[in-house]
Amino acid sequence: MIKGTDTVVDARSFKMSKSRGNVINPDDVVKQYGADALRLYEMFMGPLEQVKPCSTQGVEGVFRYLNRVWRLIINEETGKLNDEVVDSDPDRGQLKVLHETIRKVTEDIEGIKFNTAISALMIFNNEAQKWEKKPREVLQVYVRLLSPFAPHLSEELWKLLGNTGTLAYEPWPEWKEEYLRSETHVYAIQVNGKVRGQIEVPSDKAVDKTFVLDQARKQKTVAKYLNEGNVVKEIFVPKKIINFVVK
Amino acid sequence: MSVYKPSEIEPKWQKYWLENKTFKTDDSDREKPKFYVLDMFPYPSSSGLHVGHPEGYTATDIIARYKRMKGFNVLHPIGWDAFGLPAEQYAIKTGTHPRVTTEANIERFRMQLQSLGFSYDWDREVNTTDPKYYKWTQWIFLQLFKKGLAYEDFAPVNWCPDLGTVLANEEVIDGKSEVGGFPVIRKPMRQWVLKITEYAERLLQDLDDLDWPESIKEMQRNWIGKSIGAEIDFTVAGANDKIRVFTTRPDTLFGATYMVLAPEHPLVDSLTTDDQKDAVEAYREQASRKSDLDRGELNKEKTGVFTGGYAVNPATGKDIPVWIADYVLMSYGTGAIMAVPGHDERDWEFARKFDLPIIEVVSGGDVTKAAFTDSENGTVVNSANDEVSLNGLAVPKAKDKIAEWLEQKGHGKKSVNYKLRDWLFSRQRYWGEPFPVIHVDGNPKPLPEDELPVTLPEVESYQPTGTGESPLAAIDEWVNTTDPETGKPAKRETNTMPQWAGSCWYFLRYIDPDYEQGPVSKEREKYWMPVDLYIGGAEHAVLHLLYARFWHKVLYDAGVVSTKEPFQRLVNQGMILGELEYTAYQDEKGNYVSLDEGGP
Repeated sequence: MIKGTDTVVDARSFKMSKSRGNVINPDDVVKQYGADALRLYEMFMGPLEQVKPCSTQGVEGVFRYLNRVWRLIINEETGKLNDEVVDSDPDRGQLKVLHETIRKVTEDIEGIKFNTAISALMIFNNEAQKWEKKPREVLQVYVRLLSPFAPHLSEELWKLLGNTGTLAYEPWPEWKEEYLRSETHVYAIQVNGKVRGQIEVPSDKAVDKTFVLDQARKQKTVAKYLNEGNVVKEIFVPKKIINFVVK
Repeated sequence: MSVYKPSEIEPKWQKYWLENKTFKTDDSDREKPKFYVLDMFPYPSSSGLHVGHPEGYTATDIIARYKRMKGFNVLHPIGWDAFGLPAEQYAIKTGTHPRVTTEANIERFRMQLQSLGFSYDWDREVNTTDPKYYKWTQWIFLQLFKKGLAYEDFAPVNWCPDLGTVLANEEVIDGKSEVGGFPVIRKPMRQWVLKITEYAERLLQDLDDLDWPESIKEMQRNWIGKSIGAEIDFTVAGANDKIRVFTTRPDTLFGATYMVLAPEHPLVDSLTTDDQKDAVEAYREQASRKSDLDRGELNKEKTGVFTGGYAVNPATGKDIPVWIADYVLMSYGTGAIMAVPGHDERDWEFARKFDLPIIEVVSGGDVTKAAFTDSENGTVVNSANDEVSLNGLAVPKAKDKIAEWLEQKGHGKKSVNYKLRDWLFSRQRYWGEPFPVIHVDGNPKPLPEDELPVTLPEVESYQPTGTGESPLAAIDEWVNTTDPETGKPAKRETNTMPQWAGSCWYFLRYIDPDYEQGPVSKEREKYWMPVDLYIGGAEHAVLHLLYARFWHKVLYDAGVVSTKEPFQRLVNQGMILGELEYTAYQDEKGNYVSLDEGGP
């Protein structure tokens, strides 16, 4: 629709032809945005097997992403590594984000689903930007994951991160299951003050009263006691107490 | 300021990779697992790289880089499919040798590919127009010839006298050339043909083992077009001649009420009665102006002429009239069909138009309204003679029973037919691989292997000869030669190979680009083949992808390659279209008008 009106407009994409004037020249795109941006864009447009229209806005979007990757690691004033790049170990949360990204990118490359692999790389970048401390080891893994897609930028960042030579034969990162696991919280479930069962819920759902009580009610050993009468009161103290009062 | 500057970073690393040969494939460690990832190599056109190329090339590059980091020996090569028409047309226009144009285009393409950072092993670059390459293309042709898979045939081609060239079926519309609208006639010309039909069954069966998109496999299955049916002989009434037909519905034999022959069928002359001679001649003349495509599925209008002659239906013993019609092609089956209007749509329309009898032999429909073509749910009726009855049988059982009876009586037999036709392999062009063949005393003779490569001569003019022959035919010093074996005078073959030849085996040459004893060495071939991942467009489904499989099977039988199939896994990239175009209309006041309200 045209902005500000109710007029519905037709939008279609056609096969590129000189007569249509819609031919996009790769040389021009490379000159303006670089080869890495063109490569990334052509994979990001959509699933490989599908027909898709291309757009200059799309290339710009990907180009901005590559700029963000640069700024994640490099201080634009000095051309050296950002102060936040440190040699200390990553924390649990950082490992989780990193290993989720390793897994997603690896599985997507194996499955030839490059558009979703690139999404995963973008999501990582957004997360990593928020970190106060950016462990060098984590960034080096990220750069290796990016390298098949945007090889030029990756080689440059690899070098600036303190390595010599090409990264083309560096080992591909492997994820560890243990870093992927969510943290959980265990609740004891009481009926009329007596512990009748327990549940384990993901940490990020531990204070969700509706979710937790719903899970608690489904517990077999608990349900048995709940069915003996009517539940007249449900006591929930987040991360501490679940107690069903039954009469 | 040190911002992200691809214009500085990228050339720097491209230079590094080239100088250090970072992506050179070292296959000396055969214990290491291998991964062969392949792009469909481009025709180096003068317009250079198109955005569609980097789509597939980026995808394979990602996989290649990934696999290297996973510890595989990776083969990721590129080359040029450089023979073809555009360079020749440019040569005709400007007098520039196609070799010169091609080399310039390749330079440009190479630079463009390198500017995109693709990790090819440039030391393995192949060029189909390099005599060092096409020596082996010619060698493979000799292997085909030795096995009886290459033969000369007089095949009708689309000859356009005004343009002075032969045109492909697809370049002829309604008997006129697509370019210029000039009349086109079907003229028999001496052509080289490859016997791809000999491999039809294997090409069909081996599809099952491939990790290819189902749609591509289906296209190949349909193109091969296997059908199981029967061959049946109909004796010409009052003569000894037999008209052989192939039918997928022998169960309907009792319903064959007339026959149709292709206008070019050899028996037409003897069948035609005096009073029908003029009509038949006129019809044959008209048919010679149409291409197979126009005559076949595309043609809705049924035309035909009665020959005046009759043949005997072997099941009913009745005489049935014989017609000619151009929807029957000499190149499919036997060039003759038994018409069963009750159970075949085309026959039904034809019978209605020309008032021929329509009888029901499979119950389940109403043949007065339309042909009943269901072969799964019908029961045979009206189909008995003194010796055999099909009545009450389901169609599949009826097929078996009638085939048995036909075999017993010597009237026919079970048979398999394929839609696939042998591959017309000659072109009347300059810019293509010459055939390694000479003609001695009018007979074709293959050259010995030590005479290869047969190189293209220098020419003054690339103009077509006007007789339909290639420009090579005009170069006497090249055409006239001597037979190396006997010393007799000989003439070189002047046709050249189609562009498909180079692309039928290029993936083997990358493995061993400098090997001088053959197209590829056994050890390297065994390590690297088959291609693990091939990415390219779906438009090659039944051309390149079928032709390459055919040549590969021939090479497998000859012991040159170790696998039955060249490409284990195939992925097709989708087309990239131009930017979204928005269509809206403005009225005189400048207000946008929605399409529904009707713009211009």
